[in-house]
Amino acid sequence: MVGAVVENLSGRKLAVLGGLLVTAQVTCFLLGGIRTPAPSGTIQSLTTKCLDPVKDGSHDTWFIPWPTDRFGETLCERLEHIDEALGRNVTARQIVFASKLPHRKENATLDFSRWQQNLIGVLQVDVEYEPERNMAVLQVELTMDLRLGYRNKRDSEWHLLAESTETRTLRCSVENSQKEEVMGLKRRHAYDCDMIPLFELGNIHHDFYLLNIRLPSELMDGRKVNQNLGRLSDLTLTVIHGNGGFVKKWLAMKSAFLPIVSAAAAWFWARVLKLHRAPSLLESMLLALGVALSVLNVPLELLSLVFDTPWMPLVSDMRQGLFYATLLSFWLVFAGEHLMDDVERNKLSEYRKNLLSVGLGCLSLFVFDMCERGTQLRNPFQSIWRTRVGANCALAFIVMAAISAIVYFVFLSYLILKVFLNISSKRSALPAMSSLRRMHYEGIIYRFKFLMLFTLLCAAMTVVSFIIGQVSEGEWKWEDDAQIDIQYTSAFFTGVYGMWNIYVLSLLALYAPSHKRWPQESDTLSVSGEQLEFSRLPTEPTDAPGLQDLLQKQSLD
Amino acid sequence: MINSKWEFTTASLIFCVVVFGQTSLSSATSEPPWWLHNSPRVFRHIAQDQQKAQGQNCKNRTLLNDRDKALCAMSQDIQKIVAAGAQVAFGECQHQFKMRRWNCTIPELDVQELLNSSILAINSREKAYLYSICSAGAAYAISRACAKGVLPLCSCDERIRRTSTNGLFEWGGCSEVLQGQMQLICKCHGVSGACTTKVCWKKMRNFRAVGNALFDKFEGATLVRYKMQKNRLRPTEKYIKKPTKRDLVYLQQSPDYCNYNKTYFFRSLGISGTSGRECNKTSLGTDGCEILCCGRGYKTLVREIQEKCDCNFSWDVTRVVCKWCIRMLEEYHCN
Repeated sequence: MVGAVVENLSGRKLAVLGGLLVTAQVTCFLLGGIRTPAPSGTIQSLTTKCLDPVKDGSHDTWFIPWPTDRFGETLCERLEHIDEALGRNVTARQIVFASKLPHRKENATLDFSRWQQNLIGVLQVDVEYEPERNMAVLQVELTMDLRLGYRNKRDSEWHLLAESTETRTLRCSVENSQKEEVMGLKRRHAYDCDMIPLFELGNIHHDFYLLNIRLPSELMDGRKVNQNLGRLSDLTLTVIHGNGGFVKKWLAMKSAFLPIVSAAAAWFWARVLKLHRAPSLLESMLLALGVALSVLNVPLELLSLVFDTPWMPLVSDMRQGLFYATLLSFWLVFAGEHLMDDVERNKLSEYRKNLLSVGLGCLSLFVFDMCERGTQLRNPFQSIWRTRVGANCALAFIVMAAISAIVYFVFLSYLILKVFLNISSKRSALPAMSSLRRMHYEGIIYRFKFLMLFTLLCAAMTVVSFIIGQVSEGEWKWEDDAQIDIQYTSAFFTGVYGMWNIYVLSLLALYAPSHKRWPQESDTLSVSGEQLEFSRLPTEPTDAPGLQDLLQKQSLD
Repeated sequence: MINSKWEFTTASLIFCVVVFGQTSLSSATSEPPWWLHNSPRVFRHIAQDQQKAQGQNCKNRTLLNDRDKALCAMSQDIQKIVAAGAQVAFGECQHQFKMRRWNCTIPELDVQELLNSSILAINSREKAYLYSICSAGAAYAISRACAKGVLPLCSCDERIRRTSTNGLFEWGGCSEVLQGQMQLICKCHGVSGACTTKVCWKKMRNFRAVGNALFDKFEGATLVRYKMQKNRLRPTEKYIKKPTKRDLVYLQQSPDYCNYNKTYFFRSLGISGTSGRECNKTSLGTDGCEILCCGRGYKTLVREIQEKCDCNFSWDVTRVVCKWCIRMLEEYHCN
């Protein structure tokens, strides 16, 4: 890259631009922080135990725990406690754990909104502790017959969304604090079980959802299941949904950034094309970065308000992956192009070895995502982690991605180190150089250091806010801080997303080829003595204006 | 539906509604604090009130405060839920006090008698526990009903308010209003399961955990005196740490629970005594024969019992499949 805007910008202009970007950054942070809910919310639903009156009943009936609205729904026969079924000669299959979402609140019938984006269900199993059995750790296979149904306000009946028989591993242990040890078994009461991921829906297209779970003791093929479960007392379904308030602001932000970033990319490319030479590799990479970010910025999620789009999370992941891959490749190419070792690169193929790590990492994550989210398109209850083979495969992909990431960062650090070494060696040689040559190298050093600093700042801010978010989310924060009304998690998301947009925007603006062909502005500025200008050694014959500028300036001085 | 179970439920309902309503009174009111109310009188009025109000409007009840009136008027559902919660609470109380001289027996009297003369006349440590476990039971039952979705009255705990409940739900969700013994559970659901997006929620714990915690509070309860000038409760001894809002306090020493039917200011307390209670010969604690029998000595009983053994635990309707074994059992009963 030759003569970028960043070198020729006066301190005042840089300050104004910086101020604008900081303002935009703060706006993004506040957009998420103030009067915004957390990105996602939860509904906890203690399942109602229903009794299926028919012993080998067909699986077409829905068991509805409570009535919704004017459509008279037939409610199931409710059991307060499983022991109520004891004397009634019923089989395990006849007990149906039913949960209907969302719950009624404040005497109003709630319904899901399409703004709420996605629905993730996890199951919490309550198993009572049995002194007779005296097992501190319980690990059993839980086999469930699952049926997920939906209904819309205008429908009169429930429709089947997904149906599956799933097996998950249930791990439980007895809480064993010191006190419990001293007081003995009297205080032990229930197992503490790990939650079980149950289903993931990529969009919320319908108003109401109904889940029916059976825990049969014998499968259709006669296989005995759920034999060592012990005294199971309750199943609690927790669903995680997006919050409309956050999604609206998120999409608004994306929509606002989309035209700005695309315009910046277009402006950048127009400038490059005006140079009457083939675009350099770095310029192409910057354009690619702008395009990838614009693709990420397209508020595609709006489609889910109208259409049934269960594939949305998959597409979102892919768009994010595309952006990350471009950003990582850009950093690599940028460091490589600033090596100053007199090797002509300027071709993507020169970087193929280094880019391999990016490609491999992204590919393995892509395969993993396709396996996980792709299969969930067919069966929302499916999870790659469910089976041992699948879990190992998933782990292998993730490990591969992690190794690629490590290799990438080692490569990048090596390149950056080399650039720094070259910089120091060049710097010692600078005074001895001719002034044109010196300015060429000083320009390269300045551009590189500027980007380094800026990138490090952004990365550090991302990492710091991520850590703060992790810490604050995991703690008890409901108790007493009612006055502080900043939703940190949302602010983190909008803030970081805004930051990377601003990062790319400023790169597009500052690293665009300088407009030295219009000398009048720079002349007046240089006369006023406010700016320190670099100029470059023309690397190509077409890039003559730089030299002319210099000559003009010298004559003015 | 008048049977003994229903009687018990009614009593516990009255008991719990009072407690449930009263504990929520703010301390800033000019009224004397609730723990100074003459409890038996309160119960009597409520009981009469209850009879009068059968089939009537809740507004006519004289003794209920506004909050209780609102609670009463809400629905039969909620009353049933509170009653069920009270029963769970009493079961828990009896489990926790199995090994003590007072084993959380409520005298078998009808409602009137229970309210006129009972151990509830004394503002003792045990009464403090009863009140706390009872309100905890009611709160637990209501939380459970809300979590099931069967109760339409539950509210959202979100601070950001919009016009309608449905609008609120779309904007920021609506989680349960839960307090007390909770467990924090988190789940990551970012890109490819990464922890960039994490959501946490509180899980209700088993009621036994609540009972355990309250029993610890019971053991650490503080004897306090009411300071009229400051409208405040202070420990009777200077060197005792001031109790916090989360501690149990009591005003009077417990009566002697050793003997049957102690009277207190000419009123029967309905104490059943420890005579005939089973004790543990080897224990040095409160369940040991020495302490439990109040020094009266104990009888040893040897008998043959049939009990479950070699149990096979399965999740099914039969649930636990056991063999029956016969063995000799030594029992010790207080004189």
